[in-house]
Amino acid sequence: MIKDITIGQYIPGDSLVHKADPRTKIILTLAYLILIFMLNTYFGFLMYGLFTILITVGSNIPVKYTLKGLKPVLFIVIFTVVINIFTVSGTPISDLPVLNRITYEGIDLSVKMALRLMLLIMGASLLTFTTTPIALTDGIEKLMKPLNRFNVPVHEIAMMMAIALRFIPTILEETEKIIKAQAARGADFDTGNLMQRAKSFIPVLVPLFISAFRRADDLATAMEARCYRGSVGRTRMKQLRFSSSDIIVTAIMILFASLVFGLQLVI
Amino acid sequence: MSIQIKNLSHIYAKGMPFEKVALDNINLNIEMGEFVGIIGHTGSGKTTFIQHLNGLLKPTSGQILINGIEVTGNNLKELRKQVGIVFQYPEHQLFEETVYKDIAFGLNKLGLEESEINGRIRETVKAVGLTDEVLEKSPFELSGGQKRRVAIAGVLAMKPSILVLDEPTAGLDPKGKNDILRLISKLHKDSGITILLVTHNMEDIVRLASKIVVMNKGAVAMSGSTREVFKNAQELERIGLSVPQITYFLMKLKEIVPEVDASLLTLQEAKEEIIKILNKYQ
Repeated sequence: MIKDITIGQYIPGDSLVHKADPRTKIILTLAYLILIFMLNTYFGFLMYGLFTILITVGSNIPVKYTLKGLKPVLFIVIFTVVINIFTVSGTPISDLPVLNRITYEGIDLSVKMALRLMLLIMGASLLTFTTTPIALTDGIEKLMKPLNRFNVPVHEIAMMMAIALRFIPTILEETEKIIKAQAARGADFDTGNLMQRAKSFIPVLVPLFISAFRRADDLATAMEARCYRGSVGRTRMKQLRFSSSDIIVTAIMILFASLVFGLQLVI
Repeated sequence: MSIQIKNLSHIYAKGMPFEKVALDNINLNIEMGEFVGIIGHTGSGKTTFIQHLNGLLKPTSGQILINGIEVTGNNLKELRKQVGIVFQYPEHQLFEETVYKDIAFGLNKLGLEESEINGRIRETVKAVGLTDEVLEKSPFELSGGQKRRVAIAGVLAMKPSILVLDEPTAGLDPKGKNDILRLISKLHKDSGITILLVTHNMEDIVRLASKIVVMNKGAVAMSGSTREVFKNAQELERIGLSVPQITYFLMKLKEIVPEVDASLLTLQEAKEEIIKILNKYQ
């Protein structure tokens, strides 16, 4: 169950996308996400889907893995579809009761919404699949640097993000361990009504919070012991630099975007 | 009456880029009432293996029979009553407001009556070497060693017929360590339950276990009586393990005095052997 969450995982590799600068990848991913909302024909969605799969394969990420990442959000997708299908007004598909609430426009809109959500997840997870959390936060810090002028604590925000990302797998592992330990003592997480089930997680949540606080405390001590004092005068071992792969990746993205939206206008 | 493991394999994240064979075709037979030591390098599959014994992990292939009943998804409740597992750092699983309530957690799940629960809690608390005073305290006020005992008591109170302990003494001071080992040994002798002990400490194994299972890279590298297994010092070293310190001493001694028996494992045995040799030379 917990193992199904693939968003946020980093998969090592040395593809063009892996090598590109995190800043490039963040900006391109943002562009990718914005463009999804400008798609309006099924042909456009098809092209976009194919492109996403192509990039995934080109980055040496198994497509199966990306698809598996969709599983946890499937509920949200279905929920959105159901809401949309019944609330959009237009031409009903039939005169029968209940069915007359469903309109052609509703079906059209909800299918597109579902496709958008799935593309969103696939595109966003590609960023984390190919970028280490450290590189990712470095990139975000660099990109947000101008905000420093407005007294936004950019470095601190980036550090918090880095720590949060770093500890997701650790906390998941810990959760699984505690679930197992309590299951071995006879805890049952799968039966009973909603209240009972929620209650059955108390034996998991209490130890989890305690260990999270302990970890946070240890980390703070360790950082202080190594003289961490925020962004002032801090230098980096690995400087971010743009390279030829950034140019290639950006070129591919621009080429593709013009292709899709050009064709969308024509067809 | 036994634990039978047949062709057990477990693969993590099958079909994913991180796929890892954690257990590779394990065949084992453990008789009821035995004290089995499980040793192996870090990452050799010990913890994965023991989690199969009460169905926390499902085999990728193969089967496990406990007293002739196969471990499946349908009989987990009955199974977990029989097989108790004490995980590494079990004190991290404590969560209740009082020690009493925490030990009672498993007992409540068994559906026992209040008087029975009360009796069992007082009995186990004494067995793990704590006093009744701790019962009303919060488990988080206790010292590390006391927390560990409370957590072990939580499993023991359920009276499993098979007890699995995963490095129960890790991170404890020498006294706490000895107390826990003595407790385990006493449990085995007094109530005759089957014990599987995972440890890195060869001296502990020699002191307690009658049989050893050596794991390496997810497979059983050796298994047999303690003495037999420790005869293969070189093989054990090759997979990152060792024989007891005193055995190394006797091996060194054997280079000078060839008639020394270098297969002895305990301090007591070594002492007698050395006295014997000294007497001969006088």
